[in-house]
Amino acid sequence: MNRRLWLKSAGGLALAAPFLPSLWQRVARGQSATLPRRSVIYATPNGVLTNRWFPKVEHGPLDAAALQGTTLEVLTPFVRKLLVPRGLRAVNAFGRPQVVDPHDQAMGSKLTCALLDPQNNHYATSHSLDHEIARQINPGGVPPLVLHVGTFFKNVKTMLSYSAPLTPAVAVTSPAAVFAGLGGLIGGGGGELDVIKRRKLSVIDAVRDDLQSYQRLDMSVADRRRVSAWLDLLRESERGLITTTTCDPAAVGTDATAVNAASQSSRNEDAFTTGADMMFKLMALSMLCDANRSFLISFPAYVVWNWDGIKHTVDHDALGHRSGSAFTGGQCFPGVLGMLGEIDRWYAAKFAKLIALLDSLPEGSGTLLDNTATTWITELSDGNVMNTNNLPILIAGSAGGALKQGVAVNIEGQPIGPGNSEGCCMDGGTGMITFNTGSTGGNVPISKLYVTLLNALGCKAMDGGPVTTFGTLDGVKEGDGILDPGELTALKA
Amino acid sequence: MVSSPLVRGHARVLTALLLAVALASGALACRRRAITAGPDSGVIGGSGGGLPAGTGGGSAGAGGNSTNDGGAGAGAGGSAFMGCGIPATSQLPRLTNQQYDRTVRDLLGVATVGALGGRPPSSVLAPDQSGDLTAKAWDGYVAAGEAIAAQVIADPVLRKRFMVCDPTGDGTACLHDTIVAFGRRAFRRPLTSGEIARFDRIVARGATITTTGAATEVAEVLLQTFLASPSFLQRAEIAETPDGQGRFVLSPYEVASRLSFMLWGSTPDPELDRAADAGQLATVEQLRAQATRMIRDERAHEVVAAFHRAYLGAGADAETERLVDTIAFRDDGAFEDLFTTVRGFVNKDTAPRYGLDPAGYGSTLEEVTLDASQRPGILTRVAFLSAYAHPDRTAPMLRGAFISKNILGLDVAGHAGSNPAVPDVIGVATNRARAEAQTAAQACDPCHGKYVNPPGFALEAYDAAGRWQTSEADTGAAIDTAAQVFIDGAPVAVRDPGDLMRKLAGSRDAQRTYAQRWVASGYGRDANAVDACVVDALAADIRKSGFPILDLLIELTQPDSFRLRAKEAP
Repeated sequence: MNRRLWLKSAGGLALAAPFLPSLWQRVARGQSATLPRRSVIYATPNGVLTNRWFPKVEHGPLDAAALQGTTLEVLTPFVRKLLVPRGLRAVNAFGRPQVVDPHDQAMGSKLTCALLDPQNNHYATSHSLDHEIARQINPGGVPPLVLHVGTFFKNVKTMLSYSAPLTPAVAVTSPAAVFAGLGGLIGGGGGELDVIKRRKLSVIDAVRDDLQSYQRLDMSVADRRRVSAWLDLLRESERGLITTTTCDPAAVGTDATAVNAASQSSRNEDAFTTGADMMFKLMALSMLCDANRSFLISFPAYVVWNWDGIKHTVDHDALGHRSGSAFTGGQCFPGVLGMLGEIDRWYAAKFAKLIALLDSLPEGSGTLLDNTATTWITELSDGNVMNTNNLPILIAGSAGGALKQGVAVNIEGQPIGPGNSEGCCMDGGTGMITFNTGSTGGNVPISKLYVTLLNALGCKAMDGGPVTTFGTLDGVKEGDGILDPGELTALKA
Repeated sequence: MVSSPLVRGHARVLTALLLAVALASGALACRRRAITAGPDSGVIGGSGGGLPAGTGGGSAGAGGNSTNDGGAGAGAGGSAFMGCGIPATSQLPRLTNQQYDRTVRDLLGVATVGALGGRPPSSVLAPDQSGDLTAKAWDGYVAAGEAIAAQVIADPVLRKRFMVCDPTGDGTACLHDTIVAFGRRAFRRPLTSGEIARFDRIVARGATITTTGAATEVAEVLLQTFLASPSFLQRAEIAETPDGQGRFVLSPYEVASRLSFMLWGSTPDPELDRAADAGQLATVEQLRAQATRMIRDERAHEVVAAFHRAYLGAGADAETERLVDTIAFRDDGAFEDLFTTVRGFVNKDTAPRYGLDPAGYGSTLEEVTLDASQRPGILTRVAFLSAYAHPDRTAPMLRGAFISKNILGLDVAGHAGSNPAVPDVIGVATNRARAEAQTAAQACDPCHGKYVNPPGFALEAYDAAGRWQTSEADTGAAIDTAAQVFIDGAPVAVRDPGDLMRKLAGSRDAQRTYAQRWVASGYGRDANAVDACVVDALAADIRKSGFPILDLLIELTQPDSFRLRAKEAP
């Protein structure tokens, strides 16, 4: 997409429709004839032990057996709502195309599919996926809800979200701040929202009565069809309004006191546990209030695990290097693979907690999860070689039926394999680190997945047609630009 | 030729079927339009305009306005329409966006909505469309209704257009009275007891569907509900009173709606409502009396203007609009006056193009009498002439195609606009010669030589800006306006623009095309084969010299089909 044109369009819209924000708040929230579709990006740092992480099925239906013994086993209750696209590569395959720190490239380019500014802070030169989604589908085009667990550093190694070129978005780290952002809708506002819903339902009731009076007449087939089509639209509208839950903190099992309690500590052991759990609830509450439809929640890379029964002495990045330090190579850190496995499983369990919450909240004939694409991405594929091909990616929920469910899809069309993360440091972590822990396959540009997600969420290209490109680079060389436009039809329902 | 109405009706259906087949084959062929027999021609394929779908001059309306070619047997009607059948029509035509705006304006005094950026209510509606309601269209109706209701209730003056009283106590009694009174106007008929109860229930739920339960808040919800109701958004024709011949008699309220939306593009006024309540819209005389009253109302001016905007296409502007309005309303002018009038409206910008001194004019249009030899009728005015021209030279093919298609009703099918495959011709002395050379090829000539070019050649007396010219500006070659224009089934020798305009004014094809477009526009749907009878009758009126344009609209109320309906095929 031509970014200059995009910005021109976005600015033009804002100028041409100054009434939109107020009208939207008053009229459109939760009233659209179709249910809102949403995106949640759950971003974890470093890499994973790829050969433990991926389902056993590379291409085909997923079931409990496909997850058994893998990192993802904890997701077994949701296996029928998972989509595992296999064979994707982000910018920074083996250190190309720029000569910058691999972490910088992986993070800065991850959601932007763009090069980094070679000078200064290495910020990305294009806006990120979460912002593109927000601009197109958010009520009033408000920015995405960008959350970060633990302390947020305005550093390329920490940031994934860019509102514009070279303009990283500062993530919200306090649940209380998120809750405050919903202040106009919950509490007193929540009551008003319920009133608005009841009013809309009242209008629908009356319109239905009126239409049904026509059904008693001896009309032509064409006229009968017109009536029934209108009734169908009413049902759709109603479905969007009638949920058993409302814009009420109680619906997600929290209240202002609990939010404040979860916001008091900045210690990682609190942020990763009660803090992150509260963030999940507030994301769900934002969905119920239709305050936002684009979410990003990320975790920091340089933390030493000391919670939920896991006790490490070095940070996650150091473990990823297998060395127990910021340096790559050298002697394996004792027990490193076991520790990485613990972290991977922790993140999988946390993801399970998120999607369980979303799946517990009814919406229309399904759940919040069903109407959302909840995408787990990792910074790297393997933390030792820091490759970004053969990426571990997982999508839960179908974005309102747009994406396949319960399958793994090998996009590359040839066997990829799970990678070789246990190629060194086996047997309790003795021996020397080797750099054979990556993957050779899995080189389909990740921008194609983003194009697929954008279309699944109802986003459009400038000409009103389907989105065909995202970002500015999908190759491995600096001047490649977008070589492979289009979406991944194999992922579409 | 004498034939029974039934036989003639079958012939028209057959002709329509043949037309469909013809249109489906060979889109690039150039041909005269397939013809429906006129009552006095008696010849299939003879002279006269046709009735193809989609060529009507008016809006096709929004949803449910389509008709099929079926219909029911003949009825009495006004004498001119004796024997005309009843076309099958949808019972649920939706308001067009223009009708929606005018109806909201006339009901509530709301022409623009602050919450919509000061734009008309229809600015948030989906474009007019036929067929089933879409999600976008439904969302648009809801959004517009909410914005309108909020504006009305917030404004004490506007609020009185909706509420018939000032609420006291809990407001229930006043809101009930408002439901009954406003409902009569919004649904264009008295509400049934069930409908009143439906709205009363909304009042009863007032405390749960509003923030404070105040009567004005509940009133806003009531208004939102009215504006989203199918009985408001559709001009439903649901009376099921049989006429004994397989058709249904429209209720007086449905007839009132037909009258007001045809003549005003809006909802009935109190006087029409009273006539409907009193059952005084049942006879052709009663309809004529109402139409005669209504046609003199200001709202009719916009309907006539909109019709001629569509009739003239890109050739309409403020000058032609003023001219048409003057011909129709001030002069009681006729169809032929559109092509012969020398009345004009000019300002300092257009005066030089008419050979007038701009110093004598300001920026507003002033009435003048133009040179009768150069400026007879609306097609000799700068708006039409410059709209159908290239920037730097005339476009006889564009002017000619417009006249053959839009005025004479010929089916000049084929490519639209320029054909880039044809190379330009340079080195010729006149634009006419240039066009002739460009279209001399075997593939072009059958259409261009016979139908497209000749009317445009007759208008070569005007340059691209609409100025009178006797020689080409760049070569000095003399302008030749003589042409053989295909009119009423045969080439007719035309000397100059004035001669062409006189012959267009007297053309049966042109008269019938104009009549057909009024039928489509007036009835808010494409004319079909059953309508041919009405078209023929109107065309016969037009042939009477001096038959006022406004009387054509009144005549449209006279056929039986204005008071009866036939059900669409199952």
